[in-house]
Amino acid sequence: MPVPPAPRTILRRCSMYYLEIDRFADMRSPVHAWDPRIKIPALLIMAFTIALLKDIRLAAMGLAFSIGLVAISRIPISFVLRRLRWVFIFLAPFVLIMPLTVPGKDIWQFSFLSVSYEGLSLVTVIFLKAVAIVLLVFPMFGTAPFHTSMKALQHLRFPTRFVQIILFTYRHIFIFFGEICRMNNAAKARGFEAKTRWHSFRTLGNFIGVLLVRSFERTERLYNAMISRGYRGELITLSTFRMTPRDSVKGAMVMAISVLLLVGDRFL
Amino acid sequence: MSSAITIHNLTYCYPDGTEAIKDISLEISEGESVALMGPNGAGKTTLFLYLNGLLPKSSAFGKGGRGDSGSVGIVKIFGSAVDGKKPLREIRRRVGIVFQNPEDQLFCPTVFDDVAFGPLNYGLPPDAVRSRVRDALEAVGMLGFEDRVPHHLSFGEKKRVSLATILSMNPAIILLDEPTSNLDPRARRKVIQVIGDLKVTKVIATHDLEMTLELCERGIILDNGRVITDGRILDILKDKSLLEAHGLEVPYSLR
Repeated sequence: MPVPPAPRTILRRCSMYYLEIDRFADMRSPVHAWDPRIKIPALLIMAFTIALLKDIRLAAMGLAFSIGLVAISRIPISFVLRRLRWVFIFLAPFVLIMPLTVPGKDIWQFSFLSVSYEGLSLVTVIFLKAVAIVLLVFPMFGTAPFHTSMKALQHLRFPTRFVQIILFTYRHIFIFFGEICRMNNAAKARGFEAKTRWHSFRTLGNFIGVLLVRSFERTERLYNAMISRGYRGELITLSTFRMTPRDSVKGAMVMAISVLLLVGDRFL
Repeated sequence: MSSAITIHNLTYCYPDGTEAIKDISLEISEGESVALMGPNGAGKTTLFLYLNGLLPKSSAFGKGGRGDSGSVGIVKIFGSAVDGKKPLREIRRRVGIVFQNPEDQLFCPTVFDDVAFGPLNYGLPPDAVRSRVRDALEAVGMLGFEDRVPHHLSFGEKKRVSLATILSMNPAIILLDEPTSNLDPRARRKVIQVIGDLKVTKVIATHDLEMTLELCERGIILDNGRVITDGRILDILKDKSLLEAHGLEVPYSLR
């Protein structure tokens, strides 16, 4: 039976597409084909490895690895860059302040400001490592449907409560945003404009209050729906994971690279 | 015919002191299809929640007075009482509620997971779960949607998947809360067809009186927590003054 395309009207109307980390999970690539039960821990270890690096050259290699992996995964660069924006905003204060404040050999001076070599190299390492680690998230969680990744976590014996919290949060972000969007439309339809004035703040306060009350009531109804179907605190799922030697080889390759990076960092 | 639901002098009071159900007595036999009608706030949903053992029973009346939720009366499902002593899980397996808002009912990542949720919780082996899911989705005409994400479905599709999540548990009684509300005519027609094909005891809470003509032989009007009438649906729906007194209208096809 042909299945019609999914109606995503609410998502589209509220431009909520960018919330979906797994938007490109349906593509084909060696990273997509990788069993998440190996992919997630392997890339997590890689992320920790990169976090431990101190040498600027090795941090650059870590970044190169991440960029390479994102390229292999074929996730569109525009999608990646739009999300990286937030990382850059977060890093901006460090980049601006650290070269000026870390003591060391001055390489540039302008009246009372001086940029130190140590500060500059330290901030470069931090920047390279941060971008490299954030980039790893895309192959890690962007190459499989989100729920598949969560099932993989459950298989890896992550605490079930933790997995359930993430799953339900993810599921409800969309309901939540749909609600915000509808309320926002309802307010706009009655002439509401968000301006810096008392009335706007009061309206926004009401928004948040109503949203909280609604979500509280929703959790109650949701919980009823769950226990009426026999829920007892466990999330039981049927899995369809299949592991092949190829999955292990990919895992071994990533591990080898991370060991090399660590060894290199120690001796360089 | 044996009795599926027996309610004897049931009164239920919410924690805020509202008496949502007042001295209701009902008997619903196995295989019956009953329409539960009444204005908003008549107590229909409360009754459903009660039948599934979903309402808090902190204390009985007379102990703490106002501010205590509680119930008096007897409710039996296939002869076993819903009183908190017997395992409620067994009752919940046999009584399925399809809630009014499918967003509350669908909480899993995929349609398959949602329909499999009940059977898995009751410890069915994987193969049995898969065939239950298949049968349930087939019954509601949603085969092929297994891997879809619930929040990307249309409202009508969500309603049908909600029904499938209950069908997969093979309940003997299905309580449907406003199954046709907010649906366009085609989606409504589809849902009515699906419900009509179900061979279980059904109680349908609704304002869609045209639908009750198609699906039910018996009707009950509930208003302000009390049973007002209980009888043949056709007799009730022709009674203009009775319907209007309780916030309802004679269906167009009977005028």
